[in-house]
Amino acid sequence: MSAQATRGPSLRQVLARSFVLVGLLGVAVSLIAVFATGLLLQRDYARDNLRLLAGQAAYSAEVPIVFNDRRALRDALQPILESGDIASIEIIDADGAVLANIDNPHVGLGSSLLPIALLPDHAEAAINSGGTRIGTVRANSSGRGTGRLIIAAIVGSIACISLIVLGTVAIARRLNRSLVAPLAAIAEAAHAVRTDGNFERRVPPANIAEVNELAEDFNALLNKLHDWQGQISSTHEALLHRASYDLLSGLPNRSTFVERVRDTIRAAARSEDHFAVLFMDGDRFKETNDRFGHAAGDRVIAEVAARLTPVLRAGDVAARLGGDEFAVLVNHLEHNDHASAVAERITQAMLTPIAVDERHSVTVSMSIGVAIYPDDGGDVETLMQIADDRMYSAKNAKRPPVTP
Amino acid sequence: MSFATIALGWQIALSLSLHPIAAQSEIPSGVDGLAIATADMVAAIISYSHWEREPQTIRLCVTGTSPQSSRLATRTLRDGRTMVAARMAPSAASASTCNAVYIGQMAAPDRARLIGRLGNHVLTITDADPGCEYGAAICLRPTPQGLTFDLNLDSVARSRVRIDPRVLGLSHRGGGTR
Repeated sequence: MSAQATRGPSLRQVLARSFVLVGLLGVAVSLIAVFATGLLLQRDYARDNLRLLAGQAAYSAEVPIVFNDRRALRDALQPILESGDIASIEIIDADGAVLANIDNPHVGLGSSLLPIALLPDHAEAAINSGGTRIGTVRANSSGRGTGRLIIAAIVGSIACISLIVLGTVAIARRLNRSLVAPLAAIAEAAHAVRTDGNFERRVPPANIAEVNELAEDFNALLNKLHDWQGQISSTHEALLHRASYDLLSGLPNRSTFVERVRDTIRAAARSEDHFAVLFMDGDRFKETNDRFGHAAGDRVIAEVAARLTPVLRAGDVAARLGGDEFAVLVNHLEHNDHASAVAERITQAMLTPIAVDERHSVTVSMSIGVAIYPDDGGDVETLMQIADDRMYSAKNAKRPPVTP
Repeated sequence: MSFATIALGWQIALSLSLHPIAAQSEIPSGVDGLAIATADMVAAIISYSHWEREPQTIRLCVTGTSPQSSRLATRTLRDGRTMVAARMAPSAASASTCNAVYIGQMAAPDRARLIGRLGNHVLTITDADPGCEYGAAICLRPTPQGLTFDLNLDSVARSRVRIDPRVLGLSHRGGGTR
C-alpha cells in the first residue's frame, strides 16, 4: 500500500488541488468581471464627478471673475480641492488668459502615478455670468477614486483567495471524512485480506451513497470470500483426510503410517527409545471374500480394525496397509517382550468369530511379524521389510486353520 | 485672567461686531482707474442683485459729490438687464424713482434723511463711509491692493433686495483690507 501511495498523488491531494484550481479560477473570473465592471462604473462616476466639480468650480469662480478678484477666486476654489478628487484647477478667462492655476496640496504624488489612461483625466466647464461666457474651468483628475478601486481590488483579491484557501481546507477535510477515509478503510481491509488472509474485518458505513454502496458490496464480497475460504479449507481437510486415512477401516493408510514411523524414528533417535512395528495379515481372508462376498469382506476388515484399536495404548498407531494387511506401531517399548505381548493381545482379540451374515461367521486368525527399533533397523524401509518378512514366516509356519 | 487678555478679548469682540466685511477688486491703471473700477464693481453688484418685482431696467440714482462715481453710466448688464444711471440731488432720490442709490459725499443729516426715506426696497451703495456704519448696505473702499467693499450686515439683513450670496461671500474674506 505504501508502495502504491508513493506511485502517485493521494486522492485527498488530487481533490484539494482540484478545489484550489476551481476556486482560483472562479475567483479570477469573478475578480476580472468585478474589476472590469468597477472600472467602467468608476469611469462613469469619475467623469460625472469631475464634471460636477468643474461645474461647481465654474459657479464658485463666476463672481470673483466678474469682480476681477484673484484672491477671492483662489479662496472660492479651495473648498473644491478639499475633496481630493482633483489634482489641479485652471481658470481661463474669455480671452484665453490663465487667471488661476491651483495645485491641490491634498493630493499626494502616488495617486498621480497610477495608470489612469482608461479614465477621464480632466473636465471643462464654462463659466457663465448672466448668459455670457466669461471663462472656462479645467479640472484635472487626481485619479484618487481609481487608486482606491485598485487598492480595493487588491485587498478584495487577497481576501477572496484567503477565503478560497480556507474553504478548500475545510472542504478537503470534510471530503477526507466522507470520501477518502472510507476508501482508505476499504483499501486497508483489502490489504489485511491480502497479507494476513484476515476475512474478519468489515468496512464501516460511509456517508456518501456510492462510497457506502462500495463499502457494503465490499463487505458482502468479504463475506462470500470468507465462506469460500471456509468451504475450501473444509474440502481441503476432507481431501487431506481421504488421502491419509483408509475409508473402510477408518484407520491411517500406508503412506500415513510410513510418515508416523518416520516421525517416531526421529523422536526415538533423540530419546534413545525403543519401539516396535507389527505387520499382520489375515489368514484366508480371500476365502471369506470369495464365499460371502465383498460386503462381508468389508465388514470383516472394519471389525478387525475396530478390535485393533482397544488393544493399543495412546501414542500407538494402527493402520491398514491395504487388502487384509494391517500394521501397528507400538511406541515406547520398555522391553522388547512387550511387543510380543501386544501381538499376543491382538491374536486374542481376533479369536471371537465375526458375523458375516445372519447365519455365518468367520474367525480371522492373524499372522504377525514384529520388528524392533533400533535392534532390527534404524530406518523405515528396513523395519517394515523385516516386519513383513517375519509376518510371512509366521504365516508359512502356520497350518491354515479349518473353517468351522 | 490677566488684564491684557481681557483687553485683547474685548478688542476681538469689538472688531467682530463693528468692523465691516471687505472685498477687493483690482483697480486698472490709468488716471481714472478708480472710477472705472467703481463703475464695474457697482454694475457687478447690481447684476447679482435681485428686486422683488424683478425690473428689467434698474434705475441707479447717483447722489452727492463723488469723483469716484464719474464713470457710472447707463450700461447693459451681463444678464441682459439694463442699468440706467441718473445723477440727482439727494432730496430727489426716493424709493419710487430709484432701485439703487449711489451715495457720495453729502452732509450727515442729508445722508441720514436719504437713507431713512429710501427704506429697505432700495439697494444703497456708498463710497463715503470707510467704517460702513451710516446705514448704506455696501460701502466701497479703495485700498493699496485694490477696490474693496464692506457690508453693513444690519442693512443687508433688513434689505428686501437680494444680493447673490457669492457676492456677499467676496466680502467675507476680510483679509484683503487688513
